[in-house]
Amino acid sequence: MKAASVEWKKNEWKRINKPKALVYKIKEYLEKAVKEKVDIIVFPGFTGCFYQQLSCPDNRSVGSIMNKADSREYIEQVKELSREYKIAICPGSYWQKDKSNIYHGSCLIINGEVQLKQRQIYLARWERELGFSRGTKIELKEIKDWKVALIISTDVFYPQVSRIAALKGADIVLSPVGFIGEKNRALQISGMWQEVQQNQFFAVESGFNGFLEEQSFWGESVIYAPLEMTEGRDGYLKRSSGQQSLIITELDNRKRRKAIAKFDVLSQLNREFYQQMKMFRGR
Amino acid sequence: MSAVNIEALIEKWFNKKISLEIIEKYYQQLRIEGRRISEDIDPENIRVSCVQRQIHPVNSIERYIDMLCGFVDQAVKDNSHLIIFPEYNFFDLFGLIPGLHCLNQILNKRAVNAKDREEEREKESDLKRNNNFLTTILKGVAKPIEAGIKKIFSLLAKEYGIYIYTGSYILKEKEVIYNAGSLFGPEGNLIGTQKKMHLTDFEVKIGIKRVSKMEVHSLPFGKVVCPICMDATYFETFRIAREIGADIIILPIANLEEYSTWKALRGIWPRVQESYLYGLKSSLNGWIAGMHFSGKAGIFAPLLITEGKDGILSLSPSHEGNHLITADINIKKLYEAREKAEYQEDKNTEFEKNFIEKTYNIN
Repeated sequence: MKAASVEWKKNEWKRINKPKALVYKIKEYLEKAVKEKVDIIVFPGFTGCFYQQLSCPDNRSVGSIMNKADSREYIEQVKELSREYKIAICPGSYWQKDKSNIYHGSCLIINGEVQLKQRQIYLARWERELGFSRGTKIELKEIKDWKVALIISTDVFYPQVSRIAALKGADIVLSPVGFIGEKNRALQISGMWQEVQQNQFFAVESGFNGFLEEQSFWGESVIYAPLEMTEGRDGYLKRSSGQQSLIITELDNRKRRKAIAKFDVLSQLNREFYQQMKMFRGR
Repeated sequence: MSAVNIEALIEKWFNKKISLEIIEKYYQQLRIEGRRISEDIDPENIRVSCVQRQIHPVNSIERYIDMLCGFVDQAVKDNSHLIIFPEYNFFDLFGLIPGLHCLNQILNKRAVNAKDREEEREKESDLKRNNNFLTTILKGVAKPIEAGIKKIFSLLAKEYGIYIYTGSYILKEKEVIYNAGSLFGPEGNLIGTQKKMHLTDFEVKIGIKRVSKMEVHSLPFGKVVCPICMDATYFETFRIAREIGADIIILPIANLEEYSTWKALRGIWPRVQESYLYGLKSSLNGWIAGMHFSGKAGIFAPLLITEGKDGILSLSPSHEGNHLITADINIKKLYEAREKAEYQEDKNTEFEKNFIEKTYNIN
């Protein structure tokens, strides 16, 4: 399976001033990926929110954008593109209204169809303050014998989300992300990098380096694997390092299984001990 | 000779070499200058020290006590309230086995040479392969070493007036062996003993058993738990630690592998970030019987409350050799950080309901 992750610098986001321009940019990257025979591509977290922002130019705050959140138009645009380009697309994340609730969500689109949907399960402080709702489950989708899960932004800091995906058999996790506050590499390592190491799946993370009104975001795009199978023994298969706008790599599941055989984390789970976890028993 | 006989012989030999009388007698000769720890340690200013040390097989229990004393003495001079020793903190005592010195040199030399040869890199060391022999040795030394270590650390804690975590040793109960460590208070009192809950493949092979219970200990300055090494590979350990009220995690390690920063990052550091606890890591390094251990001692905290925003309060400068690292921790600051955390500390009761059954297939 060949996977790709997109990263656009802040000035590139600044140049996108209309929804059409964003769709055109997505199209441009799909073309590049298809040329490289990529099977699956992940766009940055909040790309859909950025589209929503461009669609409501009169709104002046994140709160007002999310209150008018309608992800359908953005998803329809990507669905249209996916009919043209034979590639599985995670279009980044977006805000999605469902009755009176607003969720931070993402999906996987293949050949004009949404094949997998995911809502963010845990909220960052700023998301709680804006009154977002939480997703309650995580599901996997099988594509070409690969089990795929979506883990969105804040959820990379909640190991219970990755663990349940891993134990459901996830081979690859797609992760559109974007972080607020001061740029800090250590924070990103404490997220998906370490989830990959403690669950030994592949992950394709795509970072948003744009802005939503007054709020600025950062995040590097990285493709991770268990340490033992990466060239630098560092868990990075490919990373943008802020220099590349499209990173592509081949994911070798046989190699991953060999790496797991060397250090099989999940084989030593102590299920009896975990019954001590009161919080997760819903008490 | 059967394994049972060898085990009994080893036990008898170690009982003789590590007798409590020898320990007490030598201890009196040391004339340690006593210190009394203040009754009310300020939870906003707790000084902690973590030992990183190299294995040095000793030919007498007195040399082993000298080595431990050196670290405790330094920690006390640094005004620490707590010092923690590493996993397998007793390996030096294998030096008491007659002929071990020569055998150790041969096995280590062979392993060092093999290390550079690609075809042998993946092979295990001689002793590591010989699981039954190692199990017999561990079972034989377990009781005398446990008694000796408890005696030594109780005396040191009392005389120096400091909290001491012993590092881990082999605990034998009804012929079952565990990897366990004990915490002593400044009165020389045993506060608690914690057995390891997640084992390495090697430990499974040599017959060590795991447990499924972790206890929290209330100290005047905060609540601590004492999981061991591999326990930090699993987020569940730290989740439970938070639930049972822990503020500080004591984690002794001895990694049977070549050191790399990335390998080290799979342990306590990310767990501290997820769970918003202080993490204290002590480490054993060096060679014994052809096995190479490595690891850095470190003191960790959530990113937000470290100066470099990197989650590190103190870290050993090297993964080999002897180092004592020290830092100040502040429980009030930790609680404030939990309140302010941007990306952690959220709850989702609907998702968490029946999480255990859904995730681990437990009914």
